Amino acid sequence: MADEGEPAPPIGGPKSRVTTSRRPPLDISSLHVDVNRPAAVISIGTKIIRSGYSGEFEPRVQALTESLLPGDDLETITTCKDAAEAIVARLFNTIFHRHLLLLPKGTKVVIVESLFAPTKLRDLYCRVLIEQLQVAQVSFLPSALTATFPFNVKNALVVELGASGLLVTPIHTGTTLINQAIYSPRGYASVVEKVRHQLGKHARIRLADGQLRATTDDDWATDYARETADRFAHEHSFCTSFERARSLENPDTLQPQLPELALDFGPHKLLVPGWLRETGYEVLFEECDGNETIPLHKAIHQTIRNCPIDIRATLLENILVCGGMGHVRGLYARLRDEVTAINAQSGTLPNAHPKFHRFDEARVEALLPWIGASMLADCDYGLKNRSISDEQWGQLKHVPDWPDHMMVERGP
Amino acid sequence: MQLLHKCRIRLHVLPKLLGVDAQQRGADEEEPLLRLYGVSALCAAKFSDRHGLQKLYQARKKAIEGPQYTVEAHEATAEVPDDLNEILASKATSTMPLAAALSQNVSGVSTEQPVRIPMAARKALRCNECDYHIKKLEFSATTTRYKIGLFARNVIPELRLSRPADIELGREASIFLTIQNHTDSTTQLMIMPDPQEDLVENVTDVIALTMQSYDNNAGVLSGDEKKQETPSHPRVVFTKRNRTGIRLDVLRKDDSIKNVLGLLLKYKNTSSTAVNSDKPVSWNVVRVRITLDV
Repeated sequence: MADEGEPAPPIGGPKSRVTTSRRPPLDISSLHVDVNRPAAVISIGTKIIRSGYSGEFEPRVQALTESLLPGDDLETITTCKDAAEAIVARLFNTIFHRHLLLLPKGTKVVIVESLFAPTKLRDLYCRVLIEQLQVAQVSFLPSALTATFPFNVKNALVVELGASGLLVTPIHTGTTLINQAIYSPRGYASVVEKVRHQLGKHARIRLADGQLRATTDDDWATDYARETADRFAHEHSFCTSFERARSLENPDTLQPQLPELALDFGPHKLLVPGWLRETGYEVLFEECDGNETIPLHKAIHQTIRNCPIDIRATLLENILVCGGMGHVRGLYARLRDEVTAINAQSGTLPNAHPKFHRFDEARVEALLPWIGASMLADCDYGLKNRSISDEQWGQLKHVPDWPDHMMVERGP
Repeated sequence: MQLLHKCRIRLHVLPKLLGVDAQQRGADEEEPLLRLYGVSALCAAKFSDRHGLQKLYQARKKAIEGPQYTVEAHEATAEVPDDLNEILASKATSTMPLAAALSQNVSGVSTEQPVRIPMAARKALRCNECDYHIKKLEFSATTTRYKIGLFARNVIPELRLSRPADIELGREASIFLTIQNHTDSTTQLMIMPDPQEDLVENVTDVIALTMQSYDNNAGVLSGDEKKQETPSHPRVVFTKRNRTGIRLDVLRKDDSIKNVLGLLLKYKNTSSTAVNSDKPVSWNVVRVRITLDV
């Protein structure tokens, strides 16, 4: 998102000067709530699709993406293949007519997207929404920035823990520092894969007659095996402490020991050692997972080091966790300990300690980007300057990105 | 920036301080006036923004200061929930499934509008063959107006299959019909077979009946109702006021024949108000088709 108020300082020396378009700040005194026609706020994620109305605290409907986009539909959309337009049209028709119970014609639509969502995807959404469903205007809001609105903070280090990966984005004075953002593909999908691998290695199957045997590859090729791993990762796994994580290589030394679990595994029962519950989310903090991806605590530390020195302490003391994995039990304590340890080891900010933005009353980390978008969409001023109308789309036929608003002035 | 104003004030004290002699200036002795400069502190209420400088200054100040937020920013905290001790001490090993968590409201309040509400549709009944309105709701969902004022059963007795028919191919079977007279007159009735190649054959002889009208309660109070129930024809099973049950023998030769019974109904309403008084009451014939499939 573009800055809000002061022009950016000149960069690149005296010969070239880049200025951004001046945008007035978001003034609370100019709020105008359009209660007659609220905007539809939609967040299309890898795991969950959320849809609702602007001005409301939570989305009306949260549906699993695989139920609305079965099979390879999600991959078809994200890669913008030929059949993507029909799939997206079907998806939005379902959202408007089944979930929101709203006629799309003349509606304002707000889509919460990731910072690094492909531009082709935006054009695809706009083409379907404006040309087929005849909505009035479409706005795209970055999830990292909108996650800060519920807290009303202008400086934050937003850590998005999603299904496909994790993204650490620094935000300073309301400006998203995209160049310093770091992405790692260690998301919930990696956690489920780790859980499946661990269950295949350490769990046993109890047959109907009481006999025990080890699991085989054929057992894990079934549909109920995938559901078992997903359910175990979501319902039973948690993020263990910094000290216990170091002892997971010798699980017998862990104190106290967790009891063994018996899970439904198709026609049988799957006996799972209790310590396996602590191993799933270790994938976020493992130094090396074989794919040269960066772990979470190092991504945070590296992002802070990439930022200018005078804002590093501010970012470390304003960490904001959002996304589905923000609900994992024990995550905050582990994250605090890991970031403190790596900070002390590297000596980056010896006098600063990590602090977090979170609500004690409810765990809404997964909803923060949607809630922030709902708040901004409820301000008529907030949407007007950040949307593309049907007339603009008819002229441009693509969604203008923020560099399109920049004016490059060359010196003499 | 000090603003200079020309200020006209009445002399009370100042002449002595300033050493001005009012008489020397030729001013009025009762109300001498002085024109002074640099006294803006004494005349603040009379300042005017003649050149718009004050307005310019205020606008510039507002632009530099930025928006004044009434909502305070959230404070980050180093305190985080200690979930691990709770997990290790708890006997519960699982949390809510994802599907259940998604369907629950975070705030706990009921769902906002719009929600699906079943709509009360207008109930209308049309004839299957001619698509004419038979029954239609005119004014509201609770008002029903019949579009047809005259029904066939007000003229012709109604024939209905009283129990399911169990018919075997190539063998005679008995079926039971109930005849009901909805007319307001005594009706003489003759039931005859209607031989058609594609219909079930009625092998029973002609049945002649006399049926009372629905409002004929002549024998009820006098106790003659039991006498009326005595069947007068061997094919009649029962007779009760305006209802009569009869038994017919039918034959379905093979499977190519539809399971529909064809009858000819000959009737005469002896005291119908719809009849022309000059002409005598005549017999009318109508074809009846009864589906034997239940």
